[in-house]
Amino acid sequence: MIEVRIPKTGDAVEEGTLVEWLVEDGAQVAAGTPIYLLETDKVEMEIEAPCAGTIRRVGTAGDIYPVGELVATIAENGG
Amino acid sequence: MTERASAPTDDLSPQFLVRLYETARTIREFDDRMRRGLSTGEFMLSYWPVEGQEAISTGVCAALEPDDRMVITYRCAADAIAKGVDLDELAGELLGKVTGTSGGRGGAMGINAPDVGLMATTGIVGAGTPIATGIALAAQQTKSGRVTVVSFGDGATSIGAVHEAMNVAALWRLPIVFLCHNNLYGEGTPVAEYTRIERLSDRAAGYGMPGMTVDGTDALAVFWAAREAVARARAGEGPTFLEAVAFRLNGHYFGDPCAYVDKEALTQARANEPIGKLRVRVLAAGVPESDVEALDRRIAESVDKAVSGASAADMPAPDTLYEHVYGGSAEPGCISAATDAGAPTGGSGEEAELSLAQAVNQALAQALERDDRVILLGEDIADPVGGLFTCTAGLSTRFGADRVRATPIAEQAIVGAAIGAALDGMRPVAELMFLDFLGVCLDQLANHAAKLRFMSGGRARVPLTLRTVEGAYSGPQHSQALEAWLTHTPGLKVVVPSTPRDAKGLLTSCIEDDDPCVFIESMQLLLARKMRGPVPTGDVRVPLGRVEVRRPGKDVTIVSWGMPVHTSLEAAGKLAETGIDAEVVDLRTLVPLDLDGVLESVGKTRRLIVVHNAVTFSGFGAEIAAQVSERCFGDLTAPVVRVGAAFTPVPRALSLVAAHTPSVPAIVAAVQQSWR
Repeated sequence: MIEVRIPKTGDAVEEGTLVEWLVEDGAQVAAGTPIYLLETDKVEMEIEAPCAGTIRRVGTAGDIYPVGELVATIAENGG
Repeated sequence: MTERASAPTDDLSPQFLVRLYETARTIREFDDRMRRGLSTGEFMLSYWPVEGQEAISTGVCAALEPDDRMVITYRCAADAIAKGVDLDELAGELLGKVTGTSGGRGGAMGINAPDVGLMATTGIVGAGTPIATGIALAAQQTKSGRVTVVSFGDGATSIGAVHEAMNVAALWRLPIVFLCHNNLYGEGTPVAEYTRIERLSDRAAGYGMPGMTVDGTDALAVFWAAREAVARARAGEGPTFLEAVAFRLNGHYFGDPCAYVDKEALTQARANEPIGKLRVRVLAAGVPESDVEALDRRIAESVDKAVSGASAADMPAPDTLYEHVYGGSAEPGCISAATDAGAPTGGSGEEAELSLAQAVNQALAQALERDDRVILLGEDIADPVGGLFTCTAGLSTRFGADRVRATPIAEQAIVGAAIGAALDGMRPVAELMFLDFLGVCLDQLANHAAKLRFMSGGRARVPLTLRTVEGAYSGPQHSQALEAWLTHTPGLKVVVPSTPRDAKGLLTSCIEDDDPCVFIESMQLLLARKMRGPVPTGDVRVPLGRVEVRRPGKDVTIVSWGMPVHTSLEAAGKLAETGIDAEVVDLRTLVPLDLDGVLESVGKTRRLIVVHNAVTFSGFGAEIAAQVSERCFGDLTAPVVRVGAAFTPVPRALSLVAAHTPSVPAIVAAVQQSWR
């Protein structure tokens, strides 16, 4: 199982907003599928699935998380 | 070896040739008189002779308008005289006398005469070029039509500052001429021993600018080439590199044994020296020899009067030592006189919750709005990037990319351009992306921005602000708190805000201050939501040199600045649980230092802890500890304790960072140690 955590997108970045989920909870995703929209003071960016599998959403759209916080897991198919 | 620009014949009028001759002859006479005075022991000082190079300065300055600008070097006499500096003031300055251009504070390295367009002299090889680009930038920005000539020796073509400056000047098509006095020796090393290229003007091609090489012993050839370069600059077509070759007929400095000089070449050069050649032209134009001889006598008299007068003049009085270190008061400059600091202004009315980066952005926007003289310079500061930490986001879109100017990655050029623009009336705000890059531009900041007011005896001022960032925990070279490098430099002001409100108010004060200010933003405060705070929407000014008590207390004083103020406040909260009531004093500005504000708190608590992000050893905390100990040792009930970073580079690994950096437990432990 792969964990998806809020990334540190710059030296000064301490937290990020999970603006919007781009996939349904439990959906099958391919590696590279945009899974959520992240916003920090510096950027807005789509975060892509790091691998193919079944996604479990942990974070809530609209909430602010510190960098490193777990927001999703992906169970790799057949893994 | 040489090329010649096309030669219009109307420049061969007797009047013009006599004018050239008079300038060149005055330079020669002055140089002779200086060396005579030095060799007889009449006066003792450092002097860099110009014999042989007279025609270069003469020809170039004849192509300039009186209010065109010049930046020169410590081999100053030829350029200074040709630009029109008063002989009495020039001699006075060289001799370190009160009659000098700078009242004896600068010597040959500090000739300054803005009334004739001589904006700066430097003793650092090549360092005038970035400053000159800033003067040219000011001219371009204000559409003054002025051209700047920056003069330097051949040796300077090896140093980085010149290359950064040439690149920026060409990129921005600045109205500037790079004048290389190629006297065939970089100090004591022949050109062929320090570079593979034969024509130094070939360097120009690398920056997309024209390069010309002319015979520097021929004043007319220099004049024609300079006229072409100056016309190009004035027409907005950008810079030119003009190399003028003339053998240096004396040593690098007076007293130089010249063991490195090719004696045969020197003999040839003496036979081909510029004054004799110019005299032949003057006579050939029909000027009677008796007129020329009369002119020679007149020049000799005025030069002797100037140098002898300087020799007899007074040295500046010792009690004037602190004058011209900073604008305003002549008190020992690093300690703020409370009356100087002024009262905070503005700040009432509407407020918004902003991050420190947003507060900086707002201060910059309002300064740009308020004052046309404000310009911003820095890497990636223009949109769409808007600054690495968004501090300048939106500003280039709103105020134009010429006022909010993205630069090459060239810190010497950035700081130098800001210095030059400040010298000529602008109020530049430059950005140094990380404080760690200070080493790249420290010469511009510490040797020039900080000293030009002093070196010019107050004729120059450098109202620039340098914004930068510390405390990133981004490894050994993008993290350091180096404020002590800056506070050790007379002439700089050093400001470190800890709240968004102070950031806006202090930055506004820095921009409006007449001295160079370094404004250090703590990384952890820039964007973090929990560090946001109320900031007045309108104008707000927080005076430099005033502490702010962040938490009143009666048992122990914790002095800090920047991010560690917050660490100290957290520690004070923990201490309160153990019954210790700590007062947290935010220094806000390190220079000028509000020592009274610190003493007031320590007088009450009789215990002092200083907390900073910089390494403890030789940090600014040591200065606070010493100042307080000197003034109220008897009142202290415990030794002053410093809490800073370990004496190591800033590590990458977070585990090591935690061990390196001042922490809440470390502050609590220090207080408890003080308490026992």
